[in-house]
Amino acid sequence: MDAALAAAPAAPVPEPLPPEALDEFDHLLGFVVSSSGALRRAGAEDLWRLGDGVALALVDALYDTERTTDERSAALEVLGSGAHDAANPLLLEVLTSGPDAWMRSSAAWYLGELVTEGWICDAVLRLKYETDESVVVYLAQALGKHDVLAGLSGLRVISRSSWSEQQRTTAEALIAELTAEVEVPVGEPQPRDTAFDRAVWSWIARLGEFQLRGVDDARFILTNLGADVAPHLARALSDDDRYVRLHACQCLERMGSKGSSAADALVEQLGSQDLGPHAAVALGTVTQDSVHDRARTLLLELVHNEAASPGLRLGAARGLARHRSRLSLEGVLTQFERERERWPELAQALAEAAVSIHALEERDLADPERDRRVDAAYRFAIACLDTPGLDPASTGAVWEESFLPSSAALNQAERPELAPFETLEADWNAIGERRGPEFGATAMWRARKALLESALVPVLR
Amino acid sequence: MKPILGLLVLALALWGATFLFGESDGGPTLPAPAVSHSSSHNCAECHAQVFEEWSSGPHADSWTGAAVRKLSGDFSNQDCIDCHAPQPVFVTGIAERVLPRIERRVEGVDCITCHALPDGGVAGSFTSETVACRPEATVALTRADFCAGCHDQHQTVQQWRDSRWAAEGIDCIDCHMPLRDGTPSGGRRHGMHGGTDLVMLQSAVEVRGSRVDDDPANGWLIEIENVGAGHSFPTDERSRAADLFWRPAGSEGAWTHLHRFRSPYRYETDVPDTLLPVHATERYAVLDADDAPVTGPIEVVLLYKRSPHYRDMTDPMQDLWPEDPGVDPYATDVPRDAIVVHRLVLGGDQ
Repeated sequence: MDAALAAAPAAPVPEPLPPEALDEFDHLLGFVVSSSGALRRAGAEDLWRLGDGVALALVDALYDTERTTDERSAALEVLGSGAHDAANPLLLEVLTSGPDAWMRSSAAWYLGELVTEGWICDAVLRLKYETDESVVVYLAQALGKHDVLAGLSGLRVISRSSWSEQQRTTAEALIAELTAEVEVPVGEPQPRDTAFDRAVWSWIARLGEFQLRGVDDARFILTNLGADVAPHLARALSDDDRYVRLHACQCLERMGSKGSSAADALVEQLGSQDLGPHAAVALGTVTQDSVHDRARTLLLELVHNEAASPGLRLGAARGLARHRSRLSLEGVLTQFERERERWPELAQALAEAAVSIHALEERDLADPERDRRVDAAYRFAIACLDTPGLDPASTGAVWEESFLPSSAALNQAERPELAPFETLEADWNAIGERRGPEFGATAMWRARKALLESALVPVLR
Repeated sequence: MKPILGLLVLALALWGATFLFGESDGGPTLPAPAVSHSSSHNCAECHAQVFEEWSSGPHADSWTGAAVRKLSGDFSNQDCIDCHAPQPVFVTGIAERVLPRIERRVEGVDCITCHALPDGGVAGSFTSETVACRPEATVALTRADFCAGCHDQHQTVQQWRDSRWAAEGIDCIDCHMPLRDGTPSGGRRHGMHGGTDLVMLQSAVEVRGSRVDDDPANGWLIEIENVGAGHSFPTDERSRAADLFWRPAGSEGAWTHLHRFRSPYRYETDVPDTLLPVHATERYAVLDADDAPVTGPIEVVLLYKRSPHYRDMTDPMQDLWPEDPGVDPYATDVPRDAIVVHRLVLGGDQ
């Protein structure tokens, strides 16, 4: 594992409060409950003077159902407002294990107020498991205070589908607030403190575990942290552990253009026997919709290189589909024509690249030969939805991504060949939502293929 | 006499090798060129029966099956890819976790996953320089560790290691890849059936009824014993569940849920793990709505389901696997994939 992780000190283990201090603890906690303003703060400060062990005593008080609600609430307030090193890991524990939503929400709020950032990874992970909407809102807000937008997707779900109108409104307002504050270019890492780096490295180390539970959690965290961990992941691409290497590569692929700072590191891995194919996909993804000529050129070279391994060529083709540069189109079409009879899986990836690049928008009526080549790739991409041996969902996902951009292009110019895209998305989704005993997955793809045939084939040459 | 004895020894040696390592190809004896294997379909030409068995089993279905497509959101949940389209086990290493591959994902857990060696060779049950794929006898293929990369993700192999089966040398393949005709020379079945096979489900557990303290006046106890599974019943997490239901015998009315055997998915932090451990026996008292013992005749059913949801727990039979093979059980929001494992009537005239 990376030296940066090996050098990281172990997290401090909180000590319990000595028994002789428990009466004083109860007395001071009672004082906090019955006070307000400066006196309340003074009581909290006095509690912390009992020593680090007060943190554990506060958590015990918080979870003690024999105590009054005021006492339990005050215990959490003292734990959270102390900004004390001993409190931080316990606040995280309350966030992840607190039995009541109000505890977890409060813990999230107090964590957001911290200056240090070692808690952020675990807080992002909580987004994966939290089931209470109010906690998700507080978590998203806390993370947002530290310019981590991992909570946005959860907020969007709440804003769309919460049964509570108040929760929907709150989520919408927070989404607007968080997205308005973004000033940093996508993919540009921001400096974080050493506690954050330490936590990131410890999660990168977990990418090498045997049990996928830990790996899945690590992938979730690292992917959602985005640009700020891309440099860490770029270093992890050359880790000694192949599992760490490959899963770091997956994280970069999943974060999309937020991982663009790792593009050069991915290029270096294209020659790696085990990582190369995955690095090719990730390279195309992190450089998507950008002017990154080196990525495009390398991926095209790999696709054309018949001496390269099949996996690497396939990965490169999928990378080109993610990269979506119109400058790739000629090379994609040329190789598609070579492969369509001899290697359908590579031809499928190249046809997907043609659709992903929106080749139909590139048609040039003055060059009917080229239009015919574009249309052949589109026909193949339609056929892929019902061709034995090919994965319909792979091409289906590319079709879905093409509907909106193509429809938008139609609105910008008079492009009759794009007209079918105006209604395709709705019809496509309607087929996916149809439920009935006769309508299985295969039938769904056949129906979608028929939809594309009826809509697109008439405008293809 | 000596030549005859020599031939006998040679025949015994050959039989012994076959017994140890399984099927013999029985093919030509002239040296054949090695062929490269870029797809499991390459294997079908010589191994048609094996290919057919594999094609109808869950390994072949691991990327394309309706259930996994539904549960993974067409693999938009990319975490599922590692085990559902893995690189060759011999490449990632025995007992190591598998890694996902880029190509041929539609072939799922295929011939190459288990038989491809890192140097391009083919692991098999015997060594031969004379057949096209030039197999190398590789005992690791038969060991439980070989399955662990995927199947120990949810402790299935560990459950087996902790069982008497492991001590007795009964491996995964003894149940999931039985000898085709009862002899090693016939080779092993490659269907890899388990929870997809009713006979295997039925042989995994026994369900019995008895009276509390054996007194006919007392209420019913339902006893279930894991007699045949080499691991917990069911095994794995998340989706697989077995449920006991009961209702008064002769009634067409509502069923009452008695117990669920299931390991919760990782998101379900408040759901207990209730798998029936290997060799374990558990008993459940049958109580009515007022928690009073039920003494009259009852009908009991054990259902197995690959997705743990029923539309109506008082009418679980509406979610039975469709009798019409043309009907997709996963086409509905709540899949119709329940299987009756055991059904018994206790008391009364039976």
